[in-house]
Amino acid sequence: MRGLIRGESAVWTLLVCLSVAMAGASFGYGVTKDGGEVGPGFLPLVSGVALALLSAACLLRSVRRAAPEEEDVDPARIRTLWTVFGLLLVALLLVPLTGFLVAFGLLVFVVSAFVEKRPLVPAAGIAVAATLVIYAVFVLFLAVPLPGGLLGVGGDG
Amino acid sequence: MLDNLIMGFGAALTPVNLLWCFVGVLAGTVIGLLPGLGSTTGVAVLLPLTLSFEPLTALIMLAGIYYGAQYGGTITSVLISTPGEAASVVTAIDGYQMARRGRAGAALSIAAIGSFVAAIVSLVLLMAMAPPFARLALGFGPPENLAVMVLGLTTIVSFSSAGARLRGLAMAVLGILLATVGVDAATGLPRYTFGDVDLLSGLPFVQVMIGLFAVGEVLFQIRQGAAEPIRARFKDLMITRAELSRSKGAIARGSVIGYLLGCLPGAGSTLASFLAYGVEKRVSRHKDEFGHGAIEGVAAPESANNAAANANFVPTLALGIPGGATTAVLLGAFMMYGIQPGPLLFDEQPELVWGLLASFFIGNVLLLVLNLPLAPMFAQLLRIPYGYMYPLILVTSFVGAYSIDNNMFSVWVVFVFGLVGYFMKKFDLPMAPLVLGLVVGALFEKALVQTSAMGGGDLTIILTRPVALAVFLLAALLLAGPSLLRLVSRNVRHEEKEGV
Repeated sequence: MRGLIRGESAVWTLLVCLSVAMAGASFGYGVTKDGGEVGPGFLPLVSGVALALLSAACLLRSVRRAAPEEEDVDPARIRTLWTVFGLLLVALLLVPLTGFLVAFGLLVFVVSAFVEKRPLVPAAGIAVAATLVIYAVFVLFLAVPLPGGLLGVGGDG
Repeated sequence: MLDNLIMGFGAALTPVNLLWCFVGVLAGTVIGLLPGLGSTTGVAVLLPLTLSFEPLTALIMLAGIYYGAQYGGTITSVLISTPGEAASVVTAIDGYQMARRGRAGAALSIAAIGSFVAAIVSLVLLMAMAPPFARLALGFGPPENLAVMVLGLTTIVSFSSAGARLRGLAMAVLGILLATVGVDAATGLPRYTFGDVDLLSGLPFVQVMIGLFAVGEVLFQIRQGAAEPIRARFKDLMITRAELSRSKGAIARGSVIGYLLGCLPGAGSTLASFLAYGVEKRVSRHKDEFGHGAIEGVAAPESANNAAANANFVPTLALGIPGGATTAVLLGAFMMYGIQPGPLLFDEQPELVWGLLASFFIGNVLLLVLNLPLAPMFAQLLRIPYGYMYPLILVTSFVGAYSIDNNMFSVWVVFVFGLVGYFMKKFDLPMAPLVLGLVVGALFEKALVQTSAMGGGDLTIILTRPVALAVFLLAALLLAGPSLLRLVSRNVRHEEKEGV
């Protein structure tokens, strides 16, 4: 749980930094116009300062909070979560190469078969069926030009 | 109103609209019952599919998903104690206990009946109240609009504990800050775009929603693992006369509480369901059964969340300010179809508004017909291994996001905000205030700039506008009230102790 509190403190710290940076940048947009009216930088400045103060208060709370009981999360599930997230990133990076349909079809198969350890044949069947349904609905029915990549499989050709 | 209603039914009862209404409520039920998906996710992910539809047809389908998900969310609450919808969280307390005692079917039946009654009652009230509300709002100027938006943002965070209120406020302000990304509408000056052309029109709202609600929720569910469902059988659906009689009052009270809270901009169905449960626990003759399978503990929150879901359309349609997270996405949908919700909508687009409202009646009848006999069949979907389900949800989310603007920027926005959504769930940061802040951010800034112009740069002009001032005071009261009450009661207790 101490890790969770550290993580939460990191989130609030990040928000303090983000809001201070955005509030600082707002001066470059002009906080007020001639005549003292609200300018393009006014709302970013006010909301940035407000967010910095609120985040700092939340940061203080999370630091002061006594450590509650341990979190009951299976470490294997957390590994699965980050594996899936990594595979999502790989699928996105593959899009220019393989095209959208192939990259995401592969994602469905790899996650079902290897990450979730479902039987290979149903996992492959579901991945193929999902790809075909997406092709039918988005490319054929809605005429969405999905990136085809180097393979040219999609709707942008 | 009767003429408008007839016109509305005329528009909603065309074969195409009926078909998409059916598709919407069916999809909504399925989406609501899948853990990790809710009405907001459903509307955001399926919105791109409707871009080629007529606006009324698209809105009928999206609204069908919204209230269909309220029904579907109950099934997971009752059978696996994992609400598919935030508004069904409280139903899980007694619904799951009923299921463990073999009364899952009765819990699902009373939830469907309660939801239906509440939906019809709230729809009649919605139709009666929204037009006069819109007429009243026609007299609103920028200071009043600013005040109503502040009220919405404070309402959404005001009914939680002090710590949660602070986090909620921070999220609402973050939403407003993120809404300032892009070209400033008044001056044309780009802000926080870093020279990126894609950011000129701001953070794409629907893509952000898909990331937060769909990808973020799925990632969180992967972390939690899926629960094993309790079996619900057709023969269990019969409710006894005693159960029905116990539920009548709960349904009536839940409907009223849900409607009243749903009308407040910013107060969503979740709050209504918790409040209805709390009230029922106080007034019920079977207080001891609460937490152990009291049927009132299912009937009241289910009625409340459906009534609130409909009432949420009062501020959304009449003021153009969303009642909750899903109506915020729906507001985004209105804008994508080139329609500006607000006081003028009832006069400018009567067929669209009344057609949409009439479709709610049709959708709720369809839902009752679908849910009463078919709830156990829908429940079978919970038996599909989550290992197959979530990769499909992820792919649908990404392809849906791509299809909105046909660019990979949308897909990366979903990816980044998926991660943000996961951490928000992990650290229990409320998403609804962030969504509301992001949606009303641009309107908020417009009202702020106009108010400032009216006062020649002096924002204290608000103090000279009685309606705006009253709304601001109400917002301040909502925000500070609970803390003040706690302080006063602590002092009273302290004095009493010293007196003894």
